[in-house]
Amino acid sequence: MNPADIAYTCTIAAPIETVLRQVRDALAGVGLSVSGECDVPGGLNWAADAQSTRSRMLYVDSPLFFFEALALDRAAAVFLPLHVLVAANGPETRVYWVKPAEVFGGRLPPGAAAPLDEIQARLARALEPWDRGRL
Amino acid sequence: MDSEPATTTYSIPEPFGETLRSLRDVLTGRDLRITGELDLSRRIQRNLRIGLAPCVVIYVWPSDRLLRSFVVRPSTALLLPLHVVVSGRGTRTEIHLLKLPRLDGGAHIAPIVKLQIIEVAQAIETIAMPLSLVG
Repeated sequence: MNPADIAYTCTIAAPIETVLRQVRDALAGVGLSVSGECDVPGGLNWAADAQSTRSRMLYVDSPLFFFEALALDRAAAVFLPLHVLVAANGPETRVYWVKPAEVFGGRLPPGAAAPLDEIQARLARALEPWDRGRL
Repeated sequence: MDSEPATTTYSIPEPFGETLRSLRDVLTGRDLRITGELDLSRRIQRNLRIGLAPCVVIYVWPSDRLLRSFVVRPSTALLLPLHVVVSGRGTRTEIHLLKLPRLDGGAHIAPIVKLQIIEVAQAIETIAMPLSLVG
């Protein structure tokens, strides 16, 4: 399975700082939070159709579902928090996310599947208002 | 259902704090970039008032050398910050890392992601052994 086939994107006609605020608000609206974030390292060679002057990676989770996922096996944190990439693209900003467990496959740590599904479903719901599609 | 676990667990007969320090050293010693850490036990304690054994997620980006060597699509960049999970278990510590699928060697996964997993695993294996070998 190609990661590009199961990654999601939406395009928002606003500068990146505005979109970062909108995304954080939308996440809070579905009970998710950003537990950390960082600028994507400048040395990244973006593909020609995805050139970005600035991009930021958000680490998204929910303490309750995170705890549920970790309760039986801490290995669940290999998949959580989820990653949301917010990238400036000309006058617009693109938001990307992916379901990591679907990309890598394999048997999830015990107890991780249901809370992971719930966080992914909420993330999809948070980004629904914007134009959404496959990469 | 997949029978192959999605993660590899390593064990080290050292306490949590020492392991965390050693791990940071071996990762940065290979020019891997630590862009952040999430103290999970503190996050759960603060939000849910539930005490957990120490557990930290280290976000590890590829080295500059690796980043410069590949053209990256956003769907791939989403997978690049690898989670190294460090979990205290009394006098020993466990480290959890994503595992490359054994079935096809991860043929569908971008080469930079595979190399990143291999480099991080090699760094961990300088201080810890896979739990399957410890017995």
